[in-house]
Amino acid sequence: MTVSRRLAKPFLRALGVLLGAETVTFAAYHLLPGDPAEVSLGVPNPSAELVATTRHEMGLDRPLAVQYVVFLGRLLRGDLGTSYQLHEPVTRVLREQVWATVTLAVAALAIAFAVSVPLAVATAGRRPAMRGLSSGGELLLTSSPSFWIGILLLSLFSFRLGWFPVISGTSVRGLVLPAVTLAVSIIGVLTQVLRDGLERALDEPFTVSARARGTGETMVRLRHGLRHALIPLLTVSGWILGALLGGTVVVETVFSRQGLGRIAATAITSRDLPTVTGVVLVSALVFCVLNLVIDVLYRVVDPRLRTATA
Amino acid sequence: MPDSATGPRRPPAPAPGPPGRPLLDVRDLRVTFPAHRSRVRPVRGVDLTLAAGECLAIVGESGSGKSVTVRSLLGLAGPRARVEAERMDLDGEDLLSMSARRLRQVRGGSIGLVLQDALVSLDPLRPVRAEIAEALRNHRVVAGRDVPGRVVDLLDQAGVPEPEVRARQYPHELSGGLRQRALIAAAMAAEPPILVADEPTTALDVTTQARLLASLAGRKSAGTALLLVSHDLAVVAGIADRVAVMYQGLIVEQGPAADLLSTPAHPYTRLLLAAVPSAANRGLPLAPPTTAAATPQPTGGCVFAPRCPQVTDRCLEQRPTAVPVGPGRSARCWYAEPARPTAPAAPARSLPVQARPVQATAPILTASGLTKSFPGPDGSARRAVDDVSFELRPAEILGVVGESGSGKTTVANLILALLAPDSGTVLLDGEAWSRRPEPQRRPLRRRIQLVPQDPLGSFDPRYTVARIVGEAVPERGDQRRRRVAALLDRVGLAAGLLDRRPAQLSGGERQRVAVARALAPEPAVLVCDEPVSALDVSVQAQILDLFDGLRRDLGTAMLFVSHDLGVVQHLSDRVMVMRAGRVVEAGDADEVFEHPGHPYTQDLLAALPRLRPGRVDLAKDGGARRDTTGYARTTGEPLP
Ligand SMILES: Nc1ncnc2c1ncn2[C@@H]1O[C@H](COP(=O)(O)OP(=O)(O)O)[C@@H](O)[C@H]1O
Ligand code: SF4
Ligand SMILES: [Mg+2]
Repeated sequence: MTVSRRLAKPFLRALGVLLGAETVTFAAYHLLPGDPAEVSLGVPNPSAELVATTRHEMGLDRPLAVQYVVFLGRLLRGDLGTSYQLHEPVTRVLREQVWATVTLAVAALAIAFAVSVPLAVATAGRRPAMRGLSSGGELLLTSSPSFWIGILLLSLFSFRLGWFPVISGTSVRGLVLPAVTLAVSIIGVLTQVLRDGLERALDEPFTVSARARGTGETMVRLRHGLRHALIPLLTVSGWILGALLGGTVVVETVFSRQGLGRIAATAITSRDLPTVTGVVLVSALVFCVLNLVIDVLYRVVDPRLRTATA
Repeated sequence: MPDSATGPRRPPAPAPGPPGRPLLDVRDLRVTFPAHRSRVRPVRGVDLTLAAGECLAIVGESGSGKSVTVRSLLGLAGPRARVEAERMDLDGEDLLSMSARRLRQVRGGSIGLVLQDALVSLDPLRPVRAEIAEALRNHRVVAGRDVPGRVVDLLDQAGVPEPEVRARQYPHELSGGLRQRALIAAAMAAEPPILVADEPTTALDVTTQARLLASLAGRKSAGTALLLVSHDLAVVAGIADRVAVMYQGLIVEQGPAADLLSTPAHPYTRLLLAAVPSAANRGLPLAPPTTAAATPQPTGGCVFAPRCPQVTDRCLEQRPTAVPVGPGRSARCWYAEPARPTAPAAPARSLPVQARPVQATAPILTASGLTKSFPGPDGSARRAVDDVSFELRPAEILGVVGESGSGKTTVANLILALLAPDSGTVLLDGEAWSRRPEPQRRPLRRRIQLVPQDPLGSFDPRYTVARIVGEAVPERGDQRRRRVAALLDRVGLAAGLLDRRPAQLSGGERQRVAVARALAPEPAVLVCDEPVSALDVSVQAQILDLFDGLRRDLGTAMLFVSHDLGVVQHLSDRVMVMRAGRVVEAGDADEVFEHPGHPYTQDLLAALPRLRPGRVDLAKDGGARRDTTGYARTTGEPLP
């Protein structure tokens, strides 16, 4: 009873999140000006007759409530429909594009951690000058828009030096600049959160106890401090995922990379509802899964939570 | 150690260090912290020596610089601390000029340090064994594969029951006493010749405290030099060979424990000794009346002058130096002279013991057959309170004692009707109180008020003192302001504190504010739940005096819950001894404490630290046994 309830709760919550996200997509689509039927025809200045037939075929002439129910019914059956713009089933489009984006996001996350962790460990609680320099840099990075950083990197390393391809494609070399651009957008926040957590932990009596046992400063930071710093990091992981997903839209466009971000960008401008619905569904799913994983990770990191709810 | 004619001699330590060089030799230690435009000077010239197998206790009220002193021995006073000393030698090696590498070897290798705040000194995210293994690995005590076994041995030696199980557990799964033992095990992992323990027994209940002290005594007799820090002279009396009394960063008196405790030479030492509550000073004030502006203004004169009853003009102008006052003794006072403390002259406001409230009046509070169960961790019901009955009369103080977990706070909550009993009733003023709906109870609520252990947790941090107390006053406007001022005056707080916020108050001041608020609706009964447990001895003495005065002047009855027998013995007319939810013994305080009938009460009393030096019979009375390794071993179970 309690076990099934414990499993049911996050599941229901995830379902609610998915439903909410899709409803917002549907509402935005129908509230924004412009006619989806014209978009889906893809010809300039179509005749009014043709538009009317298409509207009927697409069910756009039915009452909004009916359209909404039909929309949800299709979603429930896993039928995402056909992209108006690519004229391909949305599920296939998503399947083809998702890995490029996952690769990009994971690479960016890895780069961000590789930079943030040593930076935070090295600067936490250190002399004000060093710490100030680092946090100034982080502020600069956080406030610079990704497209700007992307263009900077592109013009320096691709156009000027020719180290990396201008069009990223799917090669590993092509992954470097986009991943770095995406990483830069989260390094600032990541480092700050880690450093704050570390500084708080380094003030605690248990780190003084560890020093009193003869543990060196670096080991105190790595062994005792870093793990405590992970807790606030988990708390902001939702923000990080959001920044990564949002970032892929910009980065994939700037670097002409394949991926969900670019598909989403074009689908939104061309009012391609089925594709937008699909991308929203995937993003919302990722958020839900992340939330479940975070719940588990909290418990892995912090034993106090294990017994509290067990 | 030179002998002295006074006081009982303690048995000689089995392994006294060579009479030549002490292990630790500190001369004129000064520590400063940079502060806004000035410097904080918590330690202003401390001299210490410590030999092998010896126990030196540093005693003083909180804020006197004890922790900073011992932490600076290991370079751990804080990242911004400036530590200077004429000499700071560890076995002839200068601690101040040590390389970082050598200092790491010394930490844990030569000096084991157990910090104050045992509850937060273990990393909450790591199992206990990881902390002890860390010490073993840092100092390469045993080969890597022998570490887990050694961890269990160390926990066992520190008196942790079921060491294999405990090693795998996390700090939050252990009681305060076990955490303290685990910390000692970690500090002793590399077998350092010196163990420094900062307030190791504060916040532990009396039996746990006794076991811990017995275990420390065991370390000492095995040859470890012990530097013990406490705010309570009674705690160290049984174990210390020498005592150093610290006040505002200076050692004001130092000497062999027996001599110092029986014939204190410095006025502050006398004050500390008088502040220890016990049956002997029942009905007598523990703390001297402090002058209103007792804020210490250390000028050129004696640091103790603002609080000294013997102060003269000379004290205000010239700072006294440490002068010898007997064999191995010194004191910083112009008029230092070893003398037996005279019983304080009973001032007018204290009544002789016979004049205590008579039992003839009708009880104001009657509890009968109170029972309350809570679901235990495995789902089964656990009786927290089991068939508890008592009466409370006006102006009477009923003390409730027992170890932590014995059900004292649950009784308090049942009396306050914050919890509904499973069975049994409480009558207030002869009317039903526990078994009635809250709206009917509300008008009666003002008759019974709570003084909590941790007032900071129950005050809104943004409110001023005026507002915190004012909220509980029924009057409005000008009248309210006058009442608040009168209440503050009643609890001995200056009117200048009205605009302060809780964070700007000391522990004692906060507790006075809590009492003032509880008194505002003119209650007939005060329920005091461990109201002095978080305070150090001198502040505790003032608060206990306050409670005694309230009972005399206002006739307020009190249910006084405490794990500290000395406190209960000092204050109560009647006592109730609780164990595992049941009242094992109840009756007149003198009667119960002088002729305890129940073996559990006898054990509690035996575990109570007393101001009689040289009584290390804790190992016999307190349930601790010596094993062949010389360590005192104890069981973690409640006493039989
Ligand atoms: N890191 C620090 N920075 C500034 N002041 C400090 C620091 N540590 C302690 N102090 C001050 O030193 C004084 C003595 O503190 P402490 O040694 O902890 O006293 P005790 O242990 O006797 O209670 C206090 O006034 C405290 O505020
Ligand atoms: S020197 Fe004077 S003020 Fe200081 S303790 Fe002695 S008598 Fe008191
Ligand atoms: Mg302290």
